[in-house]
Amino acid sequence: MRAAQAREAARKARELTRKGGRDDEGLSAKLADCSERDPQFREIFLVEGDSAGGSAKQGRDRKVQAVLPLRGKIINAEKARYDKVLSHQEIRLLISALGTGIGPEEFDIAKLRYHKVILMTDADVDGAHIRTLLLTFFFRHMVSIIEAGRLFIAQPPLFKVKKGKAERYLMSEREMEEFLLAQWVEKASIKIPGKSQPVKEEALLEALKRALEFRTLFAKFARRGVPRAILDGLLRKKFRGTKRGVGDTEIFAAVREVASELDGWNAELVGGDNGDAALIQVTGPHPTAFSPDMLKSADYAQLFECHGEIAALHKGPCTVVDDSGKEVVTRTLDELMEVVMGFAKEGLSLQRYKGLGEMNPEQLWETTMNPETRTLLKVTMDDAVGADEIFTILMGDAVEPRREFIEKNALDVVNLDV
Amino acid sequence: MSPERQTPVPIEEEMRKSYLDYAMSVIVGRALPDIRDGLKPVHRRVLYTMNVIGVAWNRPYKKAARIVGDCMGKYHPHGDSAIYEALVRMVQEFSLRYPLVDGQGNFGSIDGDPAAAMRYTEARLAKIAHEMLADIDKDTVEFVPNYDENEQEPVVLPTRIPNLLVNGSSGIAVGMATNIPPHNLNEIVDGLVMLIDNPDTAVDDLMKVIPGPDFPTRGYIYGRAGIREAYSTGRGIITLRAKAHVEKLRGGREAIIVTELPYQVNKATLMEKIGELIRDKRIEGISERRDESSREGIRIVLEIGRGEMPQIIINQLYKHTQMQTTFGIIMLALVGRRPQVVTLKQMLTEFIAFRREVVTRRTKYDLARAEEKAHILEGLRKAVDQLDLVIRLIRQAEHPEAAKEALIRRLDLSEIQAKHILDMRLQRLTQLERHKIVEEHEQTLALITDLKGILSSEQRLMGIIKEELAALKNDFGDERRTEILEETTDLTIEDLLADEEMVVTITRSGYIKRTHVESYRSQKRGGKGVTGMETKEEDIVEDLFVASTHSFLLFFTNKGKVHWLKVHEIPEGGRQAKGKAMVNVLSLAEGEAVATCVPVRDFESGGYILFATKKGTVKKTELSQFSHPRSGGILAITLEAGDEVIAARRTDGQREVLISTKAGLIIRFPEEEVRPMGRTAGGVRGIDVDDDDQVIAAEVVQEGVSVFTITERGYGKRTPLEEYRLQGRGGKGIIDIKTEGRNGSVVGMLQIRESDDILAVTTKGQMIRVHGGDVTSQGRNTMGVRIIALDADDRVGSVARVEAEQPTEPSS
Repeated sequence: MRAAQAREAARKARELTRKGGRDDEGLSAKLADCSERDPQFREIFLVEGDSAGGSAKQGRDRKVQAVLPLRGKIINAEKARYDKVLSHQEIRLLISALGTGIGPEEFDIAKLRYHKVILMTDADVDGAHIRTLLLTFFFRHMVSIIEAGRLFIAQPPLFKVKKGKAERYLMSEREMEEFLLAQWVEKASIKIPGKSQPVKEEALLEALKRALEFRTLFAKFARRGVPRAILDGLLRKKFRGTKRGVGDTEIFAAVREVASELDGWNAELVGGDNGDAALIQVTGPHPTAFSPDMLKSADYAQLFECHGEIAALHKGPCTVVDDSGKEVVTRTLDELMEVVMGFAKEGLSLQRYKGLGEMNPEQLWETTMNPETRTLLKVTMDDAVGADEIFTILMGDAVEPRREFIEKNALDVVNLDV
Repeated sequence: MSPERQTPVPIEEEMRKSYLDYAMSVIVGRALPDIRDGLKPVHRRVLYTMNVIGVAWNRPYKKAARIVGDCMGKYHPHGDSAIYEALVRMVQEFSLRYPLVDGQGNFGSIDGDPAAAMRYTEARLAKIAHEMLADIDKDTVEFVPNYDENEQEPVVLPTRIPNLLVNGSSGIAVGMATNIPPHNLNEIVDGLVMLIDNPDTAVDDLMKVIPGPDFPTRGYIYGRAGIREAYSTGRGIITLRAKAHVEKLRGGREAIIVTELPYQVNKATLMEKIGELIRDKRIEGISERRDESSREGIRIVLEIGRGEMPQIIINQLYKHTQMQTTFGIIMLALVGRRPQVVTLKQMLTEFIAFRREVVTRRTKYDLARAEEKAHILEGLRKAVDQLDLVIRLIRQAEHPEAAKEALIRRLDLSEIQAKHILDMRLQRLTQLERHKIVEEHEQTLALITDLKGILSSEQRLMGIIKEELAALKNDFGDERRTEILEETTDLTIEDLLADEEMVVTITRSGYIKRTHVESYRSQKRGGKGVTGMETKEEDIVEDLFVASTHSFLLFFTNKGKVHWLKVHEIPEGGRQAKGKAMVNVLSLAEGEAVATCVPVRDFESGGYILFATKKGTVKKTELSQFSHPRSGGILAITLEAGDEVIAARRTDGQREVLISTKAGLIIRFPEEEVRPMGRTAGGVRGIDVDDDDQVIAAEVVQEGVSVFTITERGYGKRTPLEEYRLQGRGGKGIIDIKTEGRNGSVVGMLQIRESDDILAVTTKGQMIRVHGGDVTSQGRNTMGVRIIALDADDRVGSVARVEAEQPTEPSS
């Protein structure tokens, strides 16, 4: 009874999208189509919101680029019933615009009117959410578009940084830091004890980049429960957890040794037998516990390597010499990086983009839409089963698995927008 | 087209990354409150913005749009509507137990009306909000750059108010949600002090001073179990109730007056729902409803019809409307940026730890300022001590810089001290002022000693925290608003009702009522009868029996199900009242009708229920199997297609069974021949019924009774039981009464004693009560005598027995 009703409703909804087609009043008002006729050269931007849609329409190349603004958060295709999905206004517009039809019998990828379907959402968290909703729709209802390699994600910049004459659009915070350093090393240097010449230019940039990497990795370990002091001690002792033959016992011995040299610290190994994973419990000013596996990971190997390369910066005391001739002596790596970033940020103007609508049409074109300069993410699908599972967990009805997923992966968050 | 840069990204990876960004941002940065100040980022930013703009409680109001604009531009780069909604909520005194913002203009109502647009409304900080922002400029909390690194904003407010507990919070994040109820400030302060004095205080002791949530909308919390559960585990469910009382209106009518609603209940929606229930007849007895709410507060008036029981209507309202709601407490908050479900004690402990940090940082800040000041004053003191030297040095100096150096050298001063001496106004050299410098210096030194003392003494630090908490209580504390009712001490309706005999009548179209048994006069045989029930047109009384108000009624339906009701739950009506539709009382399925009712005093007394069906099947099941029916009814017997339950009778297992058919046949067999079966069994053959005949009645009897039989035209007789010989189960039966001629088909058969009365009801609603002894006793297989005088088109509908003495065992 219910299923039959749903089927009937879906049929009607499908008919609507078909009947509408290109002549649909709603569609022609919304879709800014392009003049090229050959689908092979045409591309369509699915843009979040009307305020960004305006920028995209004005900034595009109207020969080959079409723009379809989608308003608000679109329906979750994983949770909602088929007919509900199809009767959702924005989804109907989307299906009509693509021209493929919908449903197992009707969908025909040969009718796809654009060979590049590009998702362009804001570079903020709501943009990320809308992106997941759109991906869900394509995965559940138009998976062949993904299989054919025709679904793309545009990458609008997160920041615009202006320093002096240099102006750059940047995709991530890391990229911004590297940009700042690159500017700064041109006129600055660092004096390191034991080296006759101050480090500067290329060599300095490389060293600082490594230092950034080291700090990121180091922070990652700290987030996962490895105390900074312990980790620092292990690295100082050049302990290699990744070496062949090193097991939980050796790792624990090394941790305990480091702990014993620190005031008020102690370590204990728990578990490890009959199947439950071993855990090193550290008591001290901030008691935590972590898995010895952390010190066997590739991340540790990389951390180890970075540590070796920047050992000199780490040891200090270093003297940072700014272009104005100002000198600051630092004793730790953290201190050094703070001072360096402080100098590097001087005279900087930073604009953080929250929405596409913040950019002028030319800026949007230049950074995100121009095929000459843009970098698209091409959505691929190698592991259909794995993908199916992810969609079920993230977008499905059950809350519990979703919470577990979030809890398990909470530490891997890249962009936190607060 | 030139080759462009493309980076392949597997769909599951992109999903994972984008979703995590979204989920974690919502969890950490949008939907959940910080355990320390109890604020979500948007609320914190609004309050901080207001603090920066300077709209203090004693300053003029400022346009809400200005506050929202500033907040959005400086700290919160999201939608303006979200910011304004956050501001509005902080004004609403039905949302926050202690509103943090003082609003001017329309900020919405409990009816769900929206606030006026932000270009109309104005706002300023509430007085209590200053306690949240106090000492913010004393380096008490961490500041971070805003989104464009042009401004600094606090990551938490250095609040003195335990805001998370007193104002509560609710929010839906991703994969998790929070719902923390508001509390009374006095009680929370007492709890904090208790915990400061003894960090090992158990939750039960805390609950002595914090008995439960306290909602701004007052009302009742019903039961303590959920509160304790929530306080000790972080999760629990509590029941909230509206406050209602009964008032006498002019003209003796009564009305239910609702004056307080459960938290977060929209009054307009509630009124709509009540209207809907009245329209659908799911609640009967409300004759008029009005919303008389005004400046003085909420007042919903529900006028009730005469003879209705207000308490029952109130209970129905609790059951079917938001006059009773449940509040699922989930005490989820961000503890060091991680979402965590916390207990009451953890919340309090975290707050104390936060206060300790804030007070320590504030004291350190004050100490640093005092030391700076002391340093300067020390310099000034040296200067006034050697005033002549100072003046000489300055006069001799070529330029200010030289004067400064001379002072430093000769008086052993620091640069800062020297600078201050040079900046000093000449009037400070007067006697009085000189004296003041000395005094001030001494005071400052004393202050430094004091501040250092605080920092080195845990006890003093905690003492200060306690003092500040006590001050809060003094300034802002108020009485508890929500009353907490014990579930166990709540009176049940039985406690309020007398145990009385009632006549329960049920009509064919499904109307039911109960009437005091005294309402029916005993008449002589052959009388016209009194009107027993005002039936609707074409309706007839189908069932009638006597039961006490405290009894349970088991309603066995024709479909073989059983429903459960207490007699007092049946609407009471006068002798001539129509009664209420049964669908209001029982949840019957379509086509389902009550076949027979069995009153049961309690289920422990043992015994059986014996069923007889239209097609002659009988089944016996232990009574205890029917003690837990559900609201939709449970299966009592499995019926074959086309069959119906005719009668269900209570028995002790030692009796005999009588089954009568429409055609005047009757069978008598010992009950032991029917073995007890499970609740859902189908039963065995009781009487072999012809295809054109059907069972109309069944009785379980004992020696010594008479069998009363009545036909549709009002003729009947009384026959001693012994006249019917005992047969085996499953036989054809023997003739009881002749059904030809004036008699018509048999409509009823009852066991009676001479002292009993018989009540008969006709299809037109006439009712007669006849004394058992007045009915002529005749032999088996006779015509009977006239029992009731009928109009030409009237028929006997049904009969029932009224026992002479108060029955110890109710039966029908």
